[in-house]
Amino acid sequence: MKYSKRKTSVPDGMRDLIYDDAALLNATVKKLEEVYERNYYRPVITPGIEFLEVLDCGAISADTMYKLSDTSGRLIALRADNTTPIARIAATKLGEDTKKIPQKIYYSQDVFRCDKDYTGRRNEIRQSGIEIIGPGGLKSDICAISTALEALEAIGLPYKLEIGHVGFYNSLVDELDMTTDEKEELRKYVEAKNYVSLSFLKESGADADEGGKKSEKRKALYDRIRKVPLLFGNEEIFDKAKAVAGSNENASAAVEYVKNLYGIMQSAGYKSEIMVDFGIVHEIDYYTGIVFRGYVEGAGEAVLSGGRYDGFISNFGKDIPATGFAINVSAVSDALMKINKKNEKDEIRNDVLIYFEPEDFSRARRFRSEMIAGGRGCEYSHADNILDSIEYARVNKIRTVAIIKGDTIELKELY
Amino acid sequence: MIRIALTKGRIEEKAVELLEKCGYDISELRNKGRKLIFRLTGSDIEVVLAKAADVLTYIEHGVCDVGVVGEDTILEYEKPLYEMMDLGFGKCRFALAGLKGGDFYAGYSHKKIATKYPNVAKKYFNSKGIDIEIVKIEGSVELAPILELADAIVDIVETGSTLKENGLEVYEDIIPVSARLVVNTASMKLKKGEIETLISKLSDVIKSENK
Repeated sequence: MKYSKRKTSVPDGMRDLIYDDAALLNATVKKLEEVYERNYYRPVITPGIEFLEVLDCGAISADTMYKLSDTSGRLIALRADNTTPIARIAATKLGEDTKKIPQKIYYSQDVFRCDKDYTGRRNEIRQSGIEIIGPGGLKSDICAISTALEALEAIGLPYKLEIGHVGFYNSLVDELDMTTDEKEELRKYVEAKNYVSLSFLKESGADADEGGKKSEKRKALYDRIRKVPLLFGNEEIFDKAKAVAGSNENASAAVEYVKNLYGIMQSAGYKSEIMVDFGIVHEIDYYTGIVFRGYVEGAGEAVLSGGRYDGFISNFGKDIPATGFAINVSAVSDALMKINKKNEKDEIRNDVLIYFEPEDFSRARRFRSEMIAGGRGCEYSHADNILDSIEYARVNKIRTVAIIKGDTIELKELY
Repeated sequence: MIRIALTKGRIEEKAVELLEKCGYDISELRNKGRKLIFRLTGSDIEVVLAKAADVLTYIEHGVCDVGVVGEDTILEYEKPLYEMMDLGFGKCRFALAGLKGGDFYAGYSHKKIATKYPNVAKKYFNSKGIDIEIVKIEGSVELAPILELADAIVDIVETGSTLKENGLEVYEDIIPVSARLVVNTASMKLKKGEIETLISKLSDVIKSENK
C-alpha cells in the first residue's frame, strides 16, 4: 500500500522542543547537575533500551512501558524509570565495597511511558536525579534531602518539600489481616485523601464478622487509619501522628524518625519550605523508609519524588541499602516557561553580526576575535547580500552589523 | 489566589448557593451571561465553569486548584487528585437496570451492558468476576435495553422515574454518589492555608445545615 501523503506528525505524548523550549530544558538540567556535582555525585548513562525482565521489577508497571523485541525475539523495553537500571548497575558493576563505601550517582536522561491518549500528559519525560547506594541510615537520608532542597532552590521557583515515612502507614495496615486487594483499595483512598470513601469503608478483614473485643479493636484501628490522610502540615502533625500510631511501635518509630529529621532540617535553616505528610502512600511499594516529594509553583503535580528503598537492589542479586530522588525536568521547564512568557521582554542582544565576502574571511575572523576580546558576542552572517544581513539582525535583535570589505569595516548600529 | 472549577448546571447552582452561605460575594455568578470565568468581588477566589469531566482535567493539570464535581465522574475518570469532602448535594446512585421483570444473571450467554460510564461498569463486573461486553452510549441509555441492543444498563439513578416511564427497573444498586470537593495534589501543599480556609468555611455551612 502506498500512502499518498507521508505522515509528518509525532506519536501521542511526544513533542519537539524548538529553540527556547529546548534551551530551557537544557539549562534546567545544567542547573541541577551543578548542584549534584558540587555535592560530588558522579554521572551515569544507562541504555535507552533494556530487557523487559530487568525493567519489570516493581518500579513501573509493564503495562505502561513501550515494549518491542530484539532480533532473537527477546522482549525489550524503552527505559521507563531510572532507579531500576541504576539498581542493576549497583548490584552488578560497582564492586564489593559498596556496602561500606557509598556510591553517589547522578543522571539526567529520558524515561518513556505510554499514557492514555488525549490526557495532555507527556510520554517522554526528562528525569534528573541522584541515588546514594551504600550505607543506609539517618546521615544518608539527611544528605539526600539536603541535595533535594538544593536542587529545588536551584530551580528558582517558590517550592515545598514534604517528608513522610512508609513505615507509618504500612505498620498500621499490618495490624489488619487484609487481602492484597483490600489493602490496595484502602491505600488508594488514603493516597487520594478520600475522606468520604474512607468513612464509608466496610471494616473488612478475616475477623470482621466476629463479635466482641476483637471487632472493637478492629473498629478502633480503622478509625485511626481514617485519620492518616489528615496528617500533613508542619510541627503540629507529629503529636497527632503519635496519637494515630497509638501502641503500634513501628508506626511510632516512623513518626519519631521523621520528627528528628524535620527538626534537623529546621535547625539548618529550612523553615516553611519543609512540610510533613504521613499520607504519602505510593503504589510503588519498593520504598522502605522515608519518602519525600517536592512541589514548585506553576506545576500541577509533584516534580520531585524520592525516598529510601533498601530492599530493591536485591532484585538484582545484592542486598544494598539505597536512597535517592528523581526530578521531572520536563514539568519544571513547563512551569519556568509559563513565568518566562509572562515576563518576556524584547531584549536587544549587544552582539555584532559580521557580513563579509568569502575572500575577506581572514579579516572577518580577526575582527571577530577583537570583538570577543572586547566582550561582545559575534555571529557570521550567512546572507548573500547586506540587506538580508540587516534583516537577519533585526529579527534576532542584534545591535550591530559589521560590513567587511577588504580593509574597510563599516559598523551599522540598528538599536 | 485560588481558582475553583464548578460543574455547569445543577451542581453549579448548589455550589454557588454554598459559596454565598460561606459569605462570598457571588453576584457576578448570578448574572453571568456567557462568561466562563469570574472573580468573586472582595476575595482572592476565581471561579471557572466547565463540564464535569473537564473539571477533573483542569484539576489534574493544576490550572484550577479546587473543583466541585459529581462522584460519578470521579469514579469514571480515576484522575490523580485529592477528594476532600462530600458536599452533601447531588445525591444519587449508580445502578444496574433493565427491562422490568427481567433476570440479568439468568442463562449462560455473554451479557451486554450499555452505559455512559464504561469504566465504572467494567470495574463493577470485574469485581464480581463476570465477563461482559460494554457498549458506550452518549445520550439516553434507557433506549438500549428497549431496542435490544443491551441486556442492561449501568447509569446514575436519582428517583428512578425515567426508568419507570420506559418500562425499566433497577436490578441492583452499585454505589451511592454525590457532589465532591476535589483538590489538585500540588495546590493542596503550595496553597495549604487558603484551601484549608475554604474547606473549613464549607464544612461549617454544611454542618449547620445538617443540624
